[in-house]
Amino acid sequence: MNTVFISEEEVRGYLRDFIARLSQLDKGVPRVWCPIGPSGLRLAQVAMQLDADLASQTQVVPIVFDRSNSTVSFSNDRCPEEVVKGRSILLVDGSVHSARTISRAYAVLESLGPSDISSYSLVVRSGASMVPNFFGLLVGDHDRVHFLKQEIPNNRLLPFGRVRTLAFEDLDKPMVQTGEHFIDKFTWSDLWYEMRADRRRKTYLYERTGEIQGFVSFRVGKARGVLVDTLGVGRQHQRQGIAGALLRWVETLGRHRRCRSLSLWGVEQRREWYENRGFQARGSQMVLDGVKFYMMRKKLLYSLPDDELIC
Amino acid sequence: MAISGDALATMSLQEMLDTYQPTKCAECGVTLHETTTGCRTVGPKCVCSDCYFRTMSDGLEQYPICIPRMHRGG
Repeated sequence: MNTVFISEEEVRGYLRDFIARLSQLDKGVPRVWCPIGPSGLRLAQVAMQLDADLASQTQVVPIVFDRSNSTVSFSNDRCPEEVVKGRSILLVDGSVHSARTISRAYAVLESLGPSDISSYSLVVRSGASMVPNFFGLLVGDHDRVHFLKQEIPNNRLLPFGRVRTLAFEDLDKPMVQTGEHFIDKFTWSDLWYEMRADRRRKTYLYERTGEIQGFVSFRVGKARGVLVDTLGVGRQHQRQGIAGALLRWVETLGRHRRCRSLSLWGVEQRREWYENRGFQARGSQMVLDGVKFYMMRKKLLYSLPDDELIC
Repeated sequence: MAISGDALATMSLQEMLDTYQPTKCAECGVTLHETTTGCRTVGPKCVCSDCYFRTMSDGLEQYPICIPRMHRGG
């Protein structure tokens, strides 16, 4: 996973080039811009600031994408048919990932009868299903790109203590007691042996004030998936966010390793709970010690189609 | 409905955000964006990544992830 930073000057450079190419279209120059989301609107703003003639001749109709129901609409819910009909339109986006949003916006605009539609995005991911007519940067599906931001987010786990790999020195230390008998029968030696026998397997501990309070054991699979097979937190340390932080580390590492999915075995009574959090039962089941388990899997990249889940 | 290019060029960041009435985290209210806050779903609600992992943590601890396995250590 690569993190790409586009400076403000570089953003202006891409937009200057784009504006110059637009001007070469002569009579076909789009005079109605439809920026998608805040990043698209911000790009459109920078373009207007770069070229006063462009600003004076362009109308801007912002497009709103509602993430809760994946629908495209126009700001203030006003359909701009009279602005769009018969005109040349430019769709502007900051970053195209799967292209679901820009594709929906394209379809909505097309239904309003424009004379033509062009599209621009500063960033396009290689897995996008639609390629804009003009774009600045092509990046991989796992890459992250930051531009025009006042703050750039750091990765974050828990504010105190440390997450570290299981070490030989830990083998004599008391095991975390979670209250779940499947886990509590483990020893650090079991997990140490598994790590030594399979180099794809990792065990990370959460330790604070010299005490191991939780752990996660997982494997990065051949088909670029992560399988979490054990995650537990000591009973007296629960409800402090430790399990969530450990799972977050596994996801972050999985994306860095270019994994496309994260899997785990979920007990039957928790299936709906996992499904509410982005997991899907993907066929495999087993019954062990009288308990039914489902293989639950979720995409590490939200932009992937559902049928691309692999592990 | 349509904004002139001249007006957009001088618009403040807050005015632009107000144009969109962007989706906010159902837990903490932060404005959601994929690359900065993360945008995940918990049932019908959209939440940021911080809230997703924080609210998931208690459930994971109550029902730890595990399957019965062989034990080698003493």
